Amino acid sequence: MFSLVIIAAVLSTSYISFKSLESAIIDSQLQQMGHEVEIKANLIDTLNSRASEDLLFAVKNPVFVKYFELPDTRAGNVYKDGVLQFTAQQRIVKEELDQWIYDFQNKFPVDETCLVDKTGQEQTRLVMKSIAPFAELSSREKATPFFKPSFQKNINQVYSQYPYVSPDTKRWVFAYTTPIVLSDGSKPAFYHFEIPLKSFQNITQVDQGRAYVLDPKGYLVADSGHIYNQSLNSAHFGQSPRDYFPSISTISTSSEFNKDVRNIMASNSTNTGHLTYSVNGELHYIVFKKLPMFGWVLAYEKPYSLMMSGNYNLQNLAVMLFLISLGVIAGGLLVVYLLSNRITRPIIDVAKKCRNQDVANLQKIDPIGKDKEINEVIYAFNEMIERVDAIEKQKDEFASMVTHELKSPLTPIIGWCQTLKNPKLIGQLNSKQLKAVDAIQRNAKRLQQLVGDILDVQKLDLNRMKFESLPVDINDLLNYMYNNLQNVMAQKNIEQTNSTKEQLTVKSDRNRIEQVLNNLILNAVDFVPSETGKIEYGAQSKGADVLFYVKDNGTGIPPEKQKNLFRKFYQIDTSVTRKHGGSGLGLAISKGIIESLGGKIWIESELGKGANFYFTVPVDRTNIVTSEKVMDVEKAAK
Amino acid sequence: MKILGIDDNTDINELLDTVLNGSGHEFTYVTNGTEGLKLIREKKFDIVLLDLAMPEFSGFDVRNSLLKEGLLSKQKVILFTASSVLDSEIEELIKKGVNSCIRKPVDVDFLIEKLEQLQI
Repeated sequence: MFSLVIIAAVLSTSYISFKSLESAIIDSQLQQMGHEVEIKANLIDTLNSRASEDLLFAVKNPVFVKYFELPDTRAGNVYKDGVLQFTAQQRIVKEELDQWIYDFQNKFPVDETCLVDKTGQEQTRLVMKSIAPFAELSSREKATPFFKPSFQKNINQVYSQYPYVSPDTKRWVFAYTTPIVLSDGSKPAFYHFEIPLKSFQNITQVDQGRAYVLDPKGYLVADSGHIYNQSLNSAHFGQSPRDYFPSISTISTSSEFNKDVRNIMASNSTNTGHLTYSVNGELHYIVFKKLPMFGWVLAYEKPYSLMMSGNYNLQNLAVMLFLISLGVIAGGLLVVYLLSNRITRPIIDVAKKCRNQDVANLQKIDPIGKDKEINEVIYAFNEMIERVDAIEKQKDEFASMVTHELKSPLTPIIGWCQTLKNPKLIGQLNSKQLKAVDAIQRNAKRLQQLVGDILDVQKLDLNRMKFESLPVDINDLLNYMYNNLQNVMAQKNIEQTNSTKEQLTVKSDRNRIEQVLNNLILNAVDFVPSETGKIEYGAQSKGADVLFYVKDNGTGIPPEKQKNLFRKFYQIDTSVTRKHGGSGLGLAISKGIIESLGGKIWIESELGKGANFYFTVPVDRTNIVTSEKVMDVEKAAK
Repeated sequence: MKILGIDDNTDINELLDTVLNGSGHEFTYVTNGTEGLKLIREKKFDIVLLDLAMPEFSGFDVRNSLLKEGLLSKQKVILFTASSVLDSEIEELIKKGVNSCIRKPVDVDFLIEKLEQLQI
C-alpha cells in the first residue's frame, strides 16, 4: 500500500514538473514563432508597399505626361499592317520615356513594366530588362484583369492585382498599376509593374517547420513545403489558381482545422494568434497572422517534435526526472521495506503470538528487538495477561471457597440421615419415614459427589491437587475394589471380572488410581445392560508403565464422540446422566489425574461392541516430570 | 472414650452428640475456640475434634495456644474441617503435632471407625 502511494506520488510529481516545463517551452516556441511571423508579415508588407511607392515614384517623371500630351499621341494610334506606328515626335519622347523606364527597372526587381493606353494598346513595354520592339507591342491589353480597375484609380493611387499569369513572362505575378493623369484630369493610360510571385513566396521560406499563406479560396499562395514552378513560360495565360497552387487540404483535412482557418479569415484582427490540430496523434502548432491583402493569412506551423527539438534542457530534464523518480521510488520502497521490517512485521508477530495463546494458560510475550513502540504493545499485552490472571485467580479462589462452603452443610445432613436410620441411636422409624430419610440421604450424597467432583476439577485446573508417591500394591487395590463393587454389580446382576495375572506394584497415589478405576467401572455399570452385562478390568505390565483397563459389553461410543469424551461436562446423552447421576466431570477428572500422575488415558470403542478404557501409570511416579513439578520448579526459580 | 468437639456448627455438634454418645462414648462440645481451650485446660479428654474455620478464635488459634501451653500432647487432636484449608497447610499442622485430619462432609460410620482406630 505504502509502496503504491510513494510510486504514484513521485510519478505524478515528475509528470507535473515535466508537463509544466513542456508547456513553458511550447509557450516560448510559440512566442518565437509569432516573432518570426511578424517579421515575415512585415517583409511582405514592405514588398507590397515598396512596389506601390516605386511605381508612384516612377510615374512622377513628367515624361509620361509629356508623351501623352503630344499632339501626335492625342491624335490616336496609327497602325500599319496591324503594327502601331510612332511619329518622329513621339519617338523622341518615347526614347526618353523608355530610358527612364529602363533605368528605373534596374533599380527594382520588376519582371515587366508597360504603359497601356485606353484602347488597350501598349505604348511601351520592358520585359526582363529588354525593351520590346514596336512590332511586339500588344493591342489587346483590355483583356488583362487590371485594365478597368487601373483607370478607376486616381493620381497617386495604386491598384494591386491578385496574382495572375503574365501573358508575356508566362509565370505567376503580382501586378501593380497606377493611371497617368494629365493636367486636364484625363487618364489616357496606366503604368504597370509586374513583380514575380517568387519574390513574395521566397519570404515564406523557413529553416524549421512550414510557413505558408492561406488564400480565402482555399489555396496556398505561398508554402515553404511546396516547390512552385517559378521559371519563365512555366504557366499559361489564364491558368486557374486551382491548377497552380496547392490546396489547403494538403495541410489538414480536419473539419476543425478548416473551421479555425475560416474563423481567422473572417476576423478583422491582424494580431498573431495560434491554433493546434492533430496529425497521426502528433500535435501541430500554428501561429498565424492576417495579412492586409486579399484576405490572406500567413501561418507558421511546427509539429510537437520540432517544438521540442533543440531543447536539450527538456530532454535532459525528462531523463533527469526519470532517474530522480527511480531513485526516489527505490528510496521510498526501501523505507517501506524497513518500516515493514521494523513495525509491520513485529506487529504481525505479536498478533500471531496473541492469537496462539492457550486461553487456559496465558503466557507473557517476550519483548521483540529494540523497538520501543512494539515492546510497549507487548508490555501492555503482558499487563493485560497479569490482570486476567489475577481475575482468574480471584474467580478460582471464589469458586473454591463457594464449593467448600457448599460442603459444610452436607455433613450434618448426611450424618443425621445415617443417625435416623440407626435404630440403636434414636429409635425405630416407620417405613414411610425411612423412605423419606432415604431420599434425603440419596440426594445429599449426590450433591456431595457433585461438589467433590467440582473441587477436584478446580484443584486440577489450578494444579493444586496433591499426589502421593507411595508404594501401591495393585493386586490388593483391585481385590479391594472387587469386593467393594460386589453390591453395585449385584443390583444389576452384572458379571465383573478382575483379569489381572501379574503381581504389580507402582510408586504412585493409591487413592487417585482407585478414584479413576472407580469412575471408569461405575461408568461401565451405567452403560451395560442388566442381567447380561459384563465388566472386565485389571492391570498388566507395559514397559515402564502399568496398563490398566476397563472393558464392558455395553452400547459402545461412536468414534466422532470419543474425542470430546474427556472434556469437562461432556455427556454422550444428557438423559443418561440424569438416570445415572454423573456430574459430567468424571472422565475429565480421570484424565487430569492420570496425566498428573504421568500417564495417559484413552478409549477404544465401536458402537454396539462395548467400550474399552485404558490408562497407564508410571511404575515410579517420582521419575516422571509432570506439569505440576515443572510449575514447582518454575516457582522455585522465581 | 472422652471426646471434645469444638465446632461453631451446632447441627454437627448435636449430630456427633447423638452418634457418639449413642455408641458408648462420652462426647462434650463447645461452639467456640476460647471455651474449648478452657475445657482442655480443666479436664482430660482422649480426643479433641477441632474445626479449623471458626469466627474470632479459630482452630489454628486453639492449636497454637495448646502448643504454647504444652497441652498439645495431653490428648489426640483431630482436625475436622470443610473450610478451604489447603492440604499443604494441614500436612504442615500434622507434622507439628496434630494427629489427623478428617475432611467434612464425613460418613458418620467412618468417623466412629476412625476415632476408634486412633484410640488403639
